[in-house]
Amino acid sequence: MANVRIDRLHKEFRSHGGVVHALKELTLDIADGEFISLVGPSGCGKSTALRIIAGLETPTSGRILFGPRDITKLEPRDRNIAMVFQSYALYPHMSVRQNLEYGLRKRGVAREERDRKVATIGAMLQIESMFERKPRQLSGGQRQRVALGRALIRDPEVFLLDEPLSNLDAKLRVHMRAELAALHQKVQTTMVYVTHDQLEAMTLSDRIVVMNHGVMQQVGRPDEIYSRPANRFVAEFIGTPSMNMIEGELRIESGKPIFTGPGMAIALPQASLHMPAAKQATLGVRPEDIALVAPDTPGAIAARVTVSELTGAERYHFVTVGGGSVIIRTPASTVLHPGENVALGLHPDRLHLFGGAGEDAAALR
Amino acid sequence: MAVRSGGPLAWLRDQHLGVILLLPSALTFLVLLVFPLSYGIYTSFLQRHVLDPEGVWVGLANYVWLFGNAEFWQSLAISTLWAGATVGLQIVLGTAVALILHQPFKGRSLVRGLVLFPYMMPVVSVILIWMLLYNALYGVLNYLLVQTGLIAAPIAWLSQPGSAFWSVVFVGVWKYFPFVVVIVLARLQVIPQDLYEAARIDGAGAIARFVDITLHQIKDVLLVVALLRTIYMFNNFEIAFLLTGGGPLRATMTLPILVYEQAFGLYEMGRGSAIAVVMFLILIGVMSVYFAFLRKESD
Repeated sequence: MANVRIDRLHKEFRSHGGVVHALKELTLDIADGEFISLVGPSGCGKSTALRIIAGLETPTSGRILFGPRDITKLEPRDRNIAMVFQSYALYPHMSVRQNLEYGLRKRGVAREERDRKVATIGAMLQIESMFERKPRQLSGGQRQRVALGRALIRDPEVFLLDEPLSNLDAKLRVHMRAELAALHQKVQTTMVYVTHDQLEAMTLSDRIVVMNHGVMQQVGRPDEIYSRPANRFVAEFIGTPSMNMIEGELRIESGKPIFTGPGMAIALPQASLHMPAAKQATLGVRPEDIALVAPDTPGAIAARVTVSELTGAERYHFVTVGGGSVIIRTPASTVLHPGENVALGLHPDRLHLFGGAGEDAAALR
Repeated sequence: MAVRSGGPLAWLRDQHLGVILLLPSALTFLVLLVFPLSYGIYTSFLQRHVLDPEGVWVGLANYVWLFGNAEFWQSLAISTLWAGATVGLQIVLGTAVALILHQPFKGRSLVRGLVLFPYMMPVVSVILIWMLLYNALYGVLNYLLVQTGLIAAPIAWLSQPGSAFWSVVFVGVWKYFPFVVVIVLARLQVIPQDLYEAARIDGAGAIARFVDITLHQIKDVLLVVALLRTIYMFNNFEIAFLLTGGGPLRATMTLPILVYEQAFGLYEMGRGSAIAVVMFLILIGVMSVYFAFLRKESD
């Protein structure tokens, strides 16, 4: 068990005629026993970061410490980590038992000790009945358990998981997600989890690191990331359907900040005066923070319904406001018809304001 | 199918169509495989001379002669050793070269191309080159070995039974190992990289990774390569024949050369055919063992 300190980690790849910065100055403290997710689109540097922690890649600069121990230059085998791969990477010619005990064998653990640990892990993951089978005789979910078992069996200080659920079908993925959460509760080992699936990150993590273009965009608890995104990228990346982004202008009228966009003029809370005095601005509002109101409500925004989608418990309504498109999320009981005129009210405490360019943005609040 | 209802082809039912579509390959198979093979087996029961093309039915006499003939047993031993040695060494050398060519280095593509060179060259050119290299009087090999002090006097490589056999084996290995390289290299390139990464994390060193991952991953293609090479090398005629003609003192007299000697040297077509039939049966035996082994492996 150890806390992990990632200190100004930088990684460049040199390819034909250019340098790619896969990871830029990543600094992060991971507490002992924490479950932390690295999330972002393909090529954001999350896998590179994980592979550097594992020792499968060497960083261009920067350090990694497990507790007081600088492990930056150690071989993977000397780091006391375990890793679960997206493809599971089970040794195909070995039985489940041999797969589980391979790492112990390579470390010279005595036979009785190995048998004891295999039995414990087998019971924990309910894979005892398949010890003598080969990986190809197992289903995806069973392989997944064996891969987890192979990682768990060595009592690693740090547990690294590289998109471990993405090869499973949707139903099994939800099931394994819950098992993974329960497993972390039980073993209390530090876990670093890489995924492109924001739902996995949200449901499993103590904290989430959102990355883009090799740069950490925000780190925080799932609720912080969701309700207070640090910038437009995080705001748009986290949440399904995505946050509505409305381009417009920020003005001060008689001492009060007003956002005007296509078909709307919205009085903002005073706090937004601390915003950089950008004239161009983007207003972000999550689909569930838009309410249908009576047309005569002060400040109501006129909109027209184009499409409604039923997803089960909820409906997504696509409406046009002043030429732009906005998504609203309501309970399934709210039925709207295409062509219908509606009035919208925005929840004033749950608005996000970003600078016009979207890059230097800060959330409103 | 359109042919089922109406039209001039209405009489053509699916079964008939199937037969018609099979016919070209069935005929080819009959003409090119079944006929020559049966004819060869038939000939092995005849005493047939070039001056007596009709031949006389002698039953198993050719086989009786064969199994009582010391030269046949000697050639069988030589052929077995020849096939075993060339295939074994081809696999070891081919795998080693494939492993080297799998590593990234400057000029790798060029070297990968050059390695195929022996395999691409016509056999006769290869043999002429090696006869020059092996030449006792002015051969490059002797020159280099004497110059570097490894041997005191030139060796007549192809004129002494022991060195002749291994010199021929060496050429057989050199000529055909690129086949192994190509197949193994192709297999190496599709081994999932994360198996090696998982093994590194599990604590496996370079040797353990080779034994526990690489070797197991290429095992299947090595078995196929071994079968293909064994059939090929056991039947190979030209390398030994062109280099030594089966000599000296029958040291490189493989079964195909013995067939040639009987059939075209002594004009004993029947005896030659009998030897060829025995070779055929031996290879069938090897393949049966191989496939039995594969079946056992795969369950």
